[in-house]
Amino acid sequence: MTYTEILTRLVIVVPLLLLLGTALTVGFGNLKDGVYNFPSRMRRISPYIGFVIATLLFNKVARDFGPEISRVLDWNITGLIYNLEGSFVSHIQFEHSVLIAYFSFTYIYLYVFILIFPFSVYLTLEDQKPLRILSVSFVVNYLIGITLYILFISYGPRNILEAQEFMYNFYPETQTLTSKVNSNTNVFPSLHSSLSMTVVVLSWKTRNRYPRMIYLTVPVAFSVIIATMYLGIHWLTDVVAGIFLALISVRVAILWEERRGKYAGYVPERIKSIWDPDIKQNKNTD
Amino acid sequence: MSRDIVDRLTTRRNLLRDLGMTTLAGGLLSSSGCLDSLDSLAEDSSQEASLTIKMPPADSDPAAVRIAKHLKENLEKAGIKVTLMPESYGSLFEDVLIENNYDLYVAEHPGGIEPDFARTLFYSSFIEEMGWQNPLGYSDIEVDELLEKQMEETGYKRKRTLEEIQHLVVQDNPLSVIGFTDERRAVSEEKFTGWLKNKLHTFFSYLSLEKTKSAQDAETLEVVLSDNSPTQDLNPLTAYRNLNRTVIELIYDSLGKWKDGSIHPWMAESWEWHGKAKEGLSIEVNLRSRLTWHDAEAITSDDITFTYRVFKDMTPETRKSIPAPNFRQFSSLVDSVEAIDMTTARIDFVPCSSKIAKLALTIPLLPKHIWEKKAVSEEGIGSGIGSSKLTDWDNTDPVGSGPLMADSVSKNTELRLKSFKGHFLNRQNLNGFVNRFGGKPVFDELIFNVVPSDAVAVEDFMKEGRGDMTGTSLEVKDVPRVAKAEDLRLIVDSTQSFYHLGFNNKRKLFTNPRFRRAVSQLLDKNYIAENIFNGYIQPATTFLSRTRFASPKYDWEGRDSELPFAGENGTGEISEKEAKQLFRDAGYKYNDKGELLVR
Repeated sequence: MTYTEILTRLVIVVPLLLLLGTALTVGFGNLKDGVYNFPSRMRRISPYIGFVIATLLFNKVARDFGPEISRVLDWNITGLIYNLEGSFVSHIQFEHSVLIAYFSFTYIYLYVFILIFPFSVYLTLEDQKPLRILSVSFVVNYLIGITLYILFISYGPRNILEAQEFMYNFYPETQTLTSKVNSNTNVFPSLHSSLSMTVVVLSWKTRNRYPRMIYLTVPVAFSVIIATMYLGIHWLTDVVAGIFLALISVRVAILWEERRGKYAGYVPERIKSIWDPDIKQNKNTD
Repeated sequence: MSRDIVDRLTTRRNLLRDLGMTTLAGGLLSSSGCLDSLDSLAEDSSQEASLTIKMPPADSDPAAVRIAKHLKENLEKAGIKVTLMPESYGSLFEDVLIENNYDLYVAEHPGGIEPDFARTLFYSSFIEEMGWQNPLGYSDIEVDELLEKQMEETGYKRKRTLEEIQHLVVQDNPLSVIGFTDERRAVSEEKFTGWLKNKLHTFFSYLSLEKTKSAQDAETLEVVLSDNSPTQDLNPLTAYRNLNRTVIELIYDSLGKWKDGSIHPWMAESWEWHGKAKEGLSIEVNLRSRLTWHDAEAITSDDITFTYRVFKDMTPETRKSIPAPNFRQFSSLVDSVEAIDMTTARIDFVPCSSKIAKLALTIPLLPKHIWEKKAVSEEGIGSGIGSSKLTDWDNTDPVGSGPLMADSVSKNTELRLKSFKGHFLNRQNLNGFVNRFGGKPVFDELIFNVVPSDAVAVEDFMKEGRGDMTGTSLEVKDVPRVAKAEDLRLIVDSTQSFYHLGFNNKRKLFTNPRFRRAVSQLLDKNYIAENIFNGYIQPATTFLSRTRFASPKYDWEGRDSELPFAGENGTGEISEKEAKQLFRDAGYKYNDKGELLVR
């Protein structure tokens, strides 16, 4: 399979999963309502979505200058991590074609799914607080992650042959995809783990509104986290750090949510009216 | 010198060293005077031995990682703590060749067909005029003298000198040669043929390819690489790996080219020798008429003098980039260079044989009109200041005079070269050596595609008809993928590159040759050749193993002749007892926890 083929499959499979997942979580009634109100809700949340996209773009740019800085600092922590945790990852690598197929599918398809899924669910809500907290926690996750990527050089267990690289051996084309998104010297922390964990935490916090959400996010996040190690890409240390990162990011996002009223005052009404249709009536939207 | 004199000298040297150590220890004992201070000497100054092994990551070189892990396992049996530190090639070579910031490393040395390459590797830093530190920090005055001597000698005399050098160096073991690589590549015979005429991914290989009968209108040769360095840096001064060097050679021509054991006139139409080897030969080189650079500027003898001055000037002030080691070897042969007329230059050499002097003619010529702008000033060249700017430049819009010119570079993705119509190979009345390559290469475009792994190279490119050849040597584990493909052929070339374990001879632990020798006996070269390389490597004891100057003392007979593996040969396994005995014999002690102690 080639890189374009895998990309095409991604673009077909993930939206289908999202549709199914969202429908199961919110119910068809809310789903219809969500689709109908999508334009206005999207408009209101656009500054936050804008920040998320800007962060992703910054990530791309950082991948150009980041490695130079990493090299100058020369803080290579690979050996340190290995001396700390030893061969843990290789011990969980029971080789079986079904496991390899499942976790490879998870690492790519289910991961992209779980990143977009909470946005899709929360857009069916009139109250945009969950969307705001989700966006900010993603941004914080990324910014801290990128900073750590730049500061440290960290190769994964497969790069010192402490683990086999199942996915890259069986599905070589996946490496073309992953190498476009990240470098093999940035395994610490595991953003796969931190972002998946963030989604789990948020689905727990919104369990009153959508109690079924957690039944989807927990197994998927758990699979993603195991996949990062089963495929030999990350150390346990990276996963643990990722989980901490998730908790910190959500905390920061909640802090921002509590304080945002204060800062909202600084934004001129004219600017706010771009995304806030109620602003002319001087009404707060939530 | 006859062999037994060498043996005696060697024994004498070792004896002196041993005596030195004992006298020092004895001196300490006698001066301490009382038992208390003896105890405190033993306790306070001893530490558990620990070291770091650096090597490329498995994505770049899994064999190097395996060798490092094999060594780590056995070092740990010997009570030494080991940390593995994978580093990208750039970082690794910077640490090793420039910063000397390492304990041990495992990597491939590009080697050389002319044994004079050993001079850059082992020539000590004090005597070396240009100040380039040999990466291992090895220094031995006797070896230095012999290295200088072999430069001037020829024939049997030179062979004897080179053998002596090998005996001294192998015994001292500043590095441990593991083996000479056989490179493995996949080719598709659909569009092009002639793959067996030369070793693949070399200048003459690309020039000797022909189109197949069914693809007479093929215009593009596509080469797949699983290493992005040729797209990162096209600076001839910093091509420290063979992969990049070949690409540079396609773009930058030189006065002469090496092929089949001798150096032939290439950009030079002819040359004449003057003087004596003992006093320093000189050569008068005549450029071919009307040669031009890729940007149509004329090539003159000013470019020759400029180039040789730049290469001579490569000093270690260039901390940011890694100077190409072989060019330093060649430029150290040149004493001075002068333009005689527009197309003639005279190069004066230091005392050395003509065979060695000619190596200097293979340096790529640089266009003065472009490179002098990069230097501080004309005075800058010759003082080191100007030159450091020249190596910091990645030159991704190179202007050379080679048969191929750069069309476009997309870092980490691809490098496109197109044929240079103004090259002299397109002329009608060629004679001599160059006549064989008239009109070559047969393709108009050469594209190097970078992919993340050899698996992708074979599965997604070669098998899908999107590549004619893999430029980088395939990882051992991916070689079977080629066998499974019907339209692809596996070609294995023996090379001069050798894997080795390098010691930082300037660091405390490794200044002691007995320690180095003990460590080397923890390496099972047979096990490495069979299990790590699946036979695609020829284990060796000497760095000149693949030349005709290899000392017969080191013919490979199933084990390293000087430092055989101290465990069970071929299994890579050694018992703790055997491992520790190696270091005990070398004079080291262990604490109660079984950790090796060093002062």
